[in-house]
Amino acid sequence: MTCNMTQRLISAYVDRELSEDERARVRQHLALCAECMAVYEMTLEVKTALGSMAPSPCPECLWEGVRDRIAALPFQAEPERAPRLSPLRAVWSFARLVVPAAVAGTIVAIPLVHMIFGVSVFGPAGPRQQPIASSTPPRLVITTPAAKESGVARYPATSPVVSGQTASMSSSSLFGLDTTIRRGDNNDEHSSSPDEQLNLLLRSMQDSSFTYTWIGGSTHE
Amino acid sequence: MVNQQALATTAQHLSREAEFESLVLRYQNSVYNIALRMSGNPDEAQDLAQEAFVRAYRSFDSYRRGTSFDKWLYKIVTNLYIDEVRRRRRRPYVESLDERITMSGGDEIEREIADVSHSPETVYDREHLDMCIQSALAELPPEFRMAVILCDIEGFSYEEIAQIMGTSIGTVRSRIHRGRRGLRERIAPCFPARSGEVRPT
Repeated sequence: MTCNMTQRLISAYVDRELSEDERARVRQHLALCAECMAVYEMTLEVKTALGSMAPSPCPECLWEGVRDRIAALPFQAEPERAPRLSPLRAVWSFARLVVPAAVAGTIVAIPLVHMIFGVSVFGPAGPRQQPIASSTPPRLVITTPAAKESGVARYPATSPVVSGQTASMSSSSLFGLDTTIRRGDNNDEHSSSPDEQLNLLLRSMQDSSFTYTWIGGSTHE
Repeated sequence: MVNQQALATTAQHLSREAEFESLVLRYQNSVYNIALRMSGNPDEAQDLAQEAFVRAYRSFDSYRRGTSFDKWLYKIVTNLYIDEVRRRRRRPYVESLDERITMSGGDEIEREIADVSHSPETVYDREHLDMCIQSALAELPPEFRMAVILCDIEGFSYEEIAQIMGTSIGTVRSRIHRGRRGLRERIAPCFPARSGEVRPT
């Protein structure tokens, strides 16, 4: 260890703020170096001299001065802690924030859904084409045109089913809607994965010959 | 009819004042002493100590009961003293002892300085040594001065000083090292037995 390094550590050595390793190295150097030893002794003297400086008694009037200045401060009551919310109040304060946001979101979403998917959220405006049995949920049928068959074939339908069975295909849902794909030429219906339905839906948005039928609703072409 | 709420608030206010007073009375000597060592001037020290306590009172609500009051207080004291001492720093009158003195007639003469190193009565005179240390302290940058005071006069560890000063332990170590190096060089003449041995590093 050099003198420079040792002298950097001497203050911390005097204060016993070195690691064991550093301490041992400083001690080793001091045993061999008179100059660093002199610095060490002087540092120790400085520390001792500072520590033994006669403490000056605080003037009697110090607290009086503080008290007068505190008294002149505007009266400040200790701020009360916010009371714990009762469960009912907690629900209310949550609802107060969330409900208006939810209402606003719905108002914005309705025309958007109508515009993008051509689906009337409130159902058909006119008379129903097919009355829905009370136990059957409404479903969306995407009909591919016969002419587009080759294009549609890129999205192979799995397990073709007959028309009468589609009502049971509740697992085939797109955005939570019971959705079926119907080929335009033979009126067969296919169950399909939500991915496939989404692809078809996006594709059909650019192709006006696809047809969406809201069973129990109006037809958009 | 007595307003219960107003009574409770007043009682709370009074108990808060009483609590604060007892804390001031307990720490005032230490807070004043640090201020005196930082400023080197009793009037200024009293101003600083009072200001520190008023600031502490203002933010007394932010002090969490049950935690170390002295660390919290010394943090306020440290920030205030370093800022104020730097702001109020007067340019000390500096004169080189090696410079020749120019007389009114234009003649230059060698400065004669009394050699006190052979007078043990003077060397070991407590007051003289304290004055010597105080003037040496005044020449240190406020951060170094505060770190040395907290370590050597108040007896805090490096870790505690780091918390009080809001720095790392490495910075505290460096400030104390550089502060003491400055003091060593400046107060060496007060220790005649060592003055010849230590060369400025």
